[in-house]
Amino acid sequence: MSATPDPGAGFAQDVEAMVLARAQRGDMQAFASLYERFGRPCFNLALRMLGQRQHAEDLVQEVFLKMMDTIRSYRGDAPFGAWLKRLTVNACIDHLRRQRGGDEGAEAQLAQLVGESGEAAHMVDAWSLLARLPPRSRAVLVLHEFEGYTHSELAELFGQSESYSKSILARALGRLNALVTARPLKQVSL
Amino acid sequence: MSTDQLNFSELARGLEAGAEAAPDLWPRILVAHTQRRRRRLRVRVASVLLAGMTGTAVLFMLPPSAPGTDWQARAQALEIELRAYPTDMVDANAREARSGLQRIDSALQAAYDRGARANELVPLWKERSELLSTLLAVRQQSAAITRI
Repeated sequence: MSATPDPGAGFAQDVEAMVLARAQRGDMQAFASLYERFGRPCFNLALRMLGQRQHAEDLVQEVFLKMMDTIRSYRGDAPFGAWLKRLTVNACIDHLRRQRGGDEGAEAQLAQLVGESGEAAHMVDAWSLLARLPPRSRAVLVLHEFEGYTHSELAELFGQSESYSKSILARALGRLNALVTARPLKQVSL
Repeated sequence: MSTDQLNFSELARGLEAGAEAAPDLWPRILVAHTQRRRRRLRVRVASVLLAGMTGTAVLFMLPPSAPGTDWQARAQALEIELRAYPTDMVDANAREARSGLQRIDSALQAAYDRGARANELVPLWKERSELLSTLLAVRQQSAAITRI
């Protein structure tokens, strides 16, 4: 069920060796070129995981600053986009860890979401459902369903067991399905 | 788990198409990058300056030459040895040595009072040791003559 990334778009874009070499020498034009290609997928991923534009923009800034500092250590073992995506995911998870409450309130927030049956009838789209999930539940769901991460990878990223991400994902999907059963999804928009 | 009601592929495509960061995000990143670089440069310059100042201070506090002899300890040892001989012997050399000792003791006292550093104190202790050696030699000689 996971969404397959478009080759040539998002984080899957190729980067010319010359651009990378220039970036590794600290060339600002090369950094601008990398932002032009990867700024948007980076922002999209952060927005999906964090649910708020301001947080997502702050995170893109953090990721690109870190990329500028550490690109000299990039050896080309993996495609640049995959390396940058990893930086983004790690930064998102760090951000979630720093947030107060973490996933302690996830169950309560999900229960409240389901309980608002009257409001559910007026749901605009699935994105508004996702945006209202507890932060960690949303992050696990986005990484597993949209980005194709396995439970094993999620366990490593979150520093938890595989059963942790399986449990969070199963509950989140179950509750989301319960919400949309009465009313089909409308067109997706932000 | 059935998730037929939620079309995640469609949702993902819609999000990819719709989400756009603020147009001024890259300029903001550039400003933050420049500020970080300046801050790091300032820290680096301050570290170099501090290291230089510390090194200079350490060099300044060291004695001018390598201290092969602890002249203060040697002077104190000679003084103890000197006490074994009678002090009533009168000799021109002994008088001169005692006078020199008084002058050096005054200089040492003054140096300690104003918190002088080792490079000023060590030569005084050396001079005192040499004078004590002279005085000790004179007294040893006088004692030998007296015994004869």
